[in-house]
Amino acid sequence: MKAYADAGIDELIVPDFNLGRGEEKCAALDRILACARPAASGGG
Amino acid sequence: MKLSVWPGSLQPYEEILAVAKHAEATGWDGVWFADHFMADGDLDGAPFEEAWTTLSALAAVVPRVRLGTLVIGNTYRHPAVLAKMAASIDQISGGRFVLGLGAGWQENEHLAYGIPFYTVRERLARLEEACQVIQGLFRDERTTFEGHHYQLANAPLSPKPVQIPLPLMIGGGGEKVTLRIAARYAQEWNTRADLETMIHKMGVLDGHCADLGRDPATITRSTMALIGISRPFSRETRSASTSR
Repeated sequence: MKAYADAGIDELIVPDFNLGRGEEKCAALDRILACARPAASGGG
Repeated sequence: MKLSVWPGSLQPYEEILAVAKHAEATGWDGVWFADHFMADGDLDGAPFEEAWTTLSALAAVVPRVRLGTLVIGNTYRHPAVLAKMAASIDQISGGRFVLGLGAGWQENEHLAYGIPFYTVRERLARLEEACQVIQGLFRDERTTFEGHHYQLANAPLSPKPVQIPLPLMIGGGGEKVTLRIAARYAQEWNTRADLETMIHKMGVLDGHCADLGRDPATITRSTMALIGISRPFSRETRSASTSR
C-alpha cells in the first residue's frame, strides 16, 4: 500500500466481489481499511 | 492516498446500497460503479445492475463519499446525454460526482443490444470528440460543435454541474492515444495495472503533459487493487486440517 502511495498514485479502488456477502463483506472492508489507511496516509 | 470501494454490478441494489452505506460510515473516500448492461463471459445472463440509475439512487442517500463511474463506455450514449446526466447527478450529490469515461471495450453487449462496436481507432476518435463535447457543455452557456462523429448546434446545458469543473476521469492505459487524451482533457486518470506498469504509464502520461504544456500534477491517478482476506485459522479449521 505504501508503495502505491509513494509511487504517486492518488487513489486505490478496491473491488468487493471477492470479499463475501453481507456482514462478512463489511468486516473484510473494515480489515482492509484498518490495514491500508496508515500506509495511505503516509505512515505504515 | 484516497481509498475507495468498487461494488460489483452482479449483486442486487440492496447489497450495493449496503456496501456504499458501510463505506460512507467507516471512512472510505469513494464508491465507484462500472457501466455495463451484462457481464462478460459465462455470466452474461446473470442479473446485472445499471450504472447511472444505481449511482443516482446512491447519490440521494449516501451523503459524503465521492461517487463515480468506472468507467462509462462512450459508445453507449451520445456525449451530450452523458453531460446532461453527469450534471444532474452532480446536482443530486451536492458536487461529489466524477465522470469516468472510456472508449468502450465489451464487445458482447454491443452485439447483444445492437450498439455499434466501432474499430479501436474510431472508438478513440469518438472518445476525444466526446471529451470536447462534454467539457464545452459543462463550461459554456451554449455549445456548437462540428466534429466528425458528433455535432451540436447552439446546445444549452442547464443546470451546470455543481463542481467547476466536474472531474472528467479518462479510463484506459493505451499509451499513444488514450493517455494523450487524458493529458489533454482529464482531471483524473485511471487504469487497471500492477504497480510497475502503473509507474511506467504515469511516466508516459507525464510525457504527454510535457508535450502539451500541462502540469502533470494537475491530473490525479488511480488504479484498482484486488485485495484478498485470509480467514482466521480458527480452532475448528485447525482441527479439520490436522485430521486429514
